[in-house]
Amino acid sequence: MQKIYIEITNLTEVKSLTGIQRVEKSVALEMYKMIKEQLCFVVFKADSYRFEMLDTNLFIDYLKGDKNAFDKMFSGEYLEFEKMHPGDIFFEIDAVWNGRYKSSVLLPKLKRYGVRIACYVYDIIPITHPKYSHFNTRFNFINYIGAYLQYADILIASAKSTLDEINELSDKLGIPRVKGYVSWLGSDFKAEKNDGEIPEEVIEAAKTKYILNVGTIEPRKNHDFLLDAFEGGLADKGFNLIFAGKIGWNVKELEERIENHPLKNKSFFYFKGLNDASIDYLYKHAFLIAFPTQAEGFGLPIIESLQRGTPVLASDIPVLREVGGEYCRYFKLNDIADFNAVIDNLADNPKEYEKLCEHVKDFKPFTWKETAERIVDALNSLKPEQRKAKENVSQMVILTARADDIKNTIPYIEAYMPFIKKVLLCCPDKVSDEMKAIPTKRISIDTLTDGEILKGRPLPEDHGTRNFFLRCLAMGSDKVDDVFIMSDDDYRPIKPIDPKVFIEDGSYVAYYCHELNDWKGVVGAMSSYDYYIYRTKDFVNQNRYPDMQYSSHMPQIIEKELYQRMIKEHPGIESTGLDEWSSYFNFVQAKYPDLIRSKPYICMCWPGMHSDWDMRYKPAEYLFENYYDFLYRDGNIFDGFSEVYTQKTEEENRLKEQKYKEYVEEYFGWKKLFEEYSDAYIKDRLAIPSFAVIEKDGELEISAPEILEVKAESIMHLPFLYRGKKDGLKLQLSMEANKVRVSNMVPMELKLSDLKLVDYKFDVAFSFGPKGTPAGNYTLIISVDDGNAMSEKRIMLKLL
Amino acid sequence: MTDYERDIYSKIYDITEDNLKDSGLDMVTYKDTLMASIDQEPSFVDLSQMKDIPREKYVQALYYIMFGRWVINDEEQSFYSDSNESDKDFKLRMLSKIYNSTERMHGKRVVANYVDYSKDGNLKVGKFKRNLLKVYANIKARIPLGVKSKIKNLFLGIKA
Repeated sequence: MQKIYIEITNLTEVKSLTGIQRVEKSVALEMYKMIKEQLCFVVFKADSYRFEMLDTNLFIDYLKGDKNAFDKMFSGEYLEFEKMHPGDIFFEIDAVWNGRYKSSVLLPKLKRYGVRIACYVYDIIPITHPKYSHFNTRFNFINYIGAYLQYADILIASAKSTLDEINELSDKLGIPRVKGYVSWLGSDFKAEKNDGEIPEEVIEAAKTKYILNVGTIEPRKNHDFLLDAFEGGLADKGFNLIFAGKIGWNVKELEERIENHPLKNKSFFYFKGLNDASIDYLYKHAFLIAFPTQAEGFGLPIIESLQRGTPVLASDIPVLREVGGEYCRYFKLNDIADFNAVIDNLADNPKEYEKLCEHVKDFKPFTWKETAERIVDALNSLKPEQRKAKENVSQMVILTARADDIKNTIPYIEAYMPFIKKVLLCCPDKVSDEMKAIPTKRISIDTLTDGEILKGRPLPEDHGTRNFFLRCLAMGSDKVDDVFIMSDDDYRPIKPIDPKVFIEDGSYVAYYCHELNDWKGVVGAMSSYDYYIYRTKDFVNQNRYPDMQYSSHMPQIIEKELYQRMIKEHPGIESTGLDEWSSYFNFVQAKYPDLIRSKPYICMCWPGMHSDWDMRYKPAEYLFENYYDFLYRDGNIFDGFSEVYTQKTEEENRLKEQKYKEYVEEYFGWKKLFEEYSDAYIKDRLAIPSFAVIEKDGELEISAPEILEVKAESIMHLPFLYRGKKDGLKLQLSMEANKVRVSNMVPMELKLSDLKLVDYKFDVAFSFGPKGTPAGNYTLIISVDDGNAMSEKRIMLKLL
Repeated sequence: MTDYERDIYSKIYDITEDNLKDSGLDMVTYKDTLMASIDQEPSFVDLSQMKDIPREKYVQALYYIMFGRWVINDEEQSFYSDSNESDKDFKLRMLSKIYNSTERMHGKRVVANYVDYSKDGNLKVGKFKRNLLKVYANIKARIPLGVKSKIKNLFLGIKA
């Protein structure tokens, strides 16, 4: 079931639920009635920097007035983004802009996990009319709106005019408009009013015909204008003027004007802190409500007044026209003459005034139920399309150029993948006959040659680009089944494989090995694979797709029609050299979250060696092997084992699996020690042990932890950051004890033209001593050389 | 975050600033502060993102990013009083001050602290001694001004 995570941090932090918190409360109560199973309310906890999930029922009890539910509603469970289901919705309805978790950081993270993002926008006044916002709100609002304009799937505005302003802003920024919806604020607050006594001075002030303004005293609300109009004629015509509302910000002069007004408590009255009954009384007995506001998100006082049958005179701005419609009278913004003329007309024509009062009685307020219904309708537009996996798979499609390699792999497929009946080899034309002649026991072999695939189009030279190009074009061939297992000629099954490995409960199972955004590659010697991962990272980020890395070097299931859809929706994609697995699975998961079930990969020898790349996920089991010939030679892990299928293969596979498992365990043991050291370092110093090379004014500065603790003889991938613009920088790490070098690294060249793809973050694989290196204290030397100058930093290294 | 994504925030800042200028007002907050803050995790500060902030805007950005609040105007002016300092020394002084402050005890962790050393290459910023700083916080009001910084450094384990 699609979950809707609603962020309501402020709602749990304030004592009185007014303004936006009142909206949140009303919407939450109504949504609970409609879709309670889907809801999960979350609050950001600044002490742990995480979102805590609330017990939905207890939270609703709290909103209904059960104060005892407050302490119990915090579940102690935290939202883990990586465990959110792709297609789930994160719905922001809070006044979050001044919060500590900046939307610019939070939203891209959610997108990485395929989460859909929706936001209820009250207004964008801090951008359109910044002078009416506090500088802090203005500043933080830029972050908030900038993030939602970039990453939200839908925006729900409280008024159409606000949505228009949002779209106008997107146009100005030159970015696509976010799909928008409108859901007015409700105003059926009946249950909350009419309690308390009405002070005598309120009743007294209301005895004379009066103009009322309700709302916080702040510059945007234009109280000065009302006082000007009052002094410029209204007072002389026998009207009282009443302000009701608390003092806001930046109104020192206005406050003085109010306090020192010569007619104060004679014909001008200012009340603050009135109870609901008094406000209700004032609304009901006013000649009219004046609402001269300069900018507004919605204009709730208009609704509150019309509900009570009192006419409203509002400034003629789009949002008030929208909310008040034909029930209000309007005057030209800041035009006292126009304002007074409307009042004169109504005061001088009692029939006209009565007619207006009668008409206002027909006004039907928008209810919170309707607000919530529209919100739910909008959120429903994010419901993922449903699609079921196609069950019968019997074909494996393999990209290969070397007959010997596939010849050695076929026996493994025959032995362990009984549901595979046919293998289609995509290969160069010149080896097609040789491929077809590969002997098999039960599997039929056919070929799809480059000529058949390309149909005259040139083949790209780069390995990564070529493979993706061929696979994309091959999807157009009738020889490829509707659903098939895509593989390479060196991906070998090592145990009996059930089709359920690929199709589970109507979903395709996709196996990931890393995350695209965190892939560091080997910066000093980037491979074709690294490049295609970086390009794929850009592809998924630009399209706001999830970012798991599925090139797990094992066979995976593909539905041809979906691959074709990806190509169709991204014209020219076939020439862009993407990771053929990650582009496809992330695309499909974005479109049909329920169709893809993502799991950590189940393949050994990826990586082949600890130094290749930093393993993020430990495979739970090993059903496949990514065959590397060098692992079977020169004392490497599988030296002595057969490289081809023999009668001993089953037994050997068991031993190989055990050896590789131990190899992986060793690496994760080193990582665990490093994590323990990091945690302790953070606790002691409030600093994260990290390495950075910073170029500033031509100088190279190196930042490193004071002390590094790692396991002796281990290989670790140390996270580095480079900020600067120098190309071809050479970085080297070495280790010494008593001024004698123990371990050295070949200097790695930082090619910045390449690094642009990786945000200048990279890992440096370093071997902390050869076999036999004893534990103890050493020195780690980090040096950078740009050809002109060299910088060096020495830190204490403790080998455990 | 890509340059394209960053650029959107920069453009919104410009639009807001233009709208504000129409009213004859200034933003008060700097664009550099915004740009240095948009990619900061809630739990830690990547100081390397502040490397290009000019000296005259550095204090505002540092306060906002490290403490999540704005520097008080008078306080800010006092930091800029020594005009003979080089930019690098100024930033180092500011960072050390903030880094070792009691306010940061409850604040954020730091990553890529690229100015964390003194001219002789020794670490300027010592191991963060949370408990000792708490003791210092309790007694600092009673320490004479002249020796206050020396006493604090003792608590922090920083050599003079």
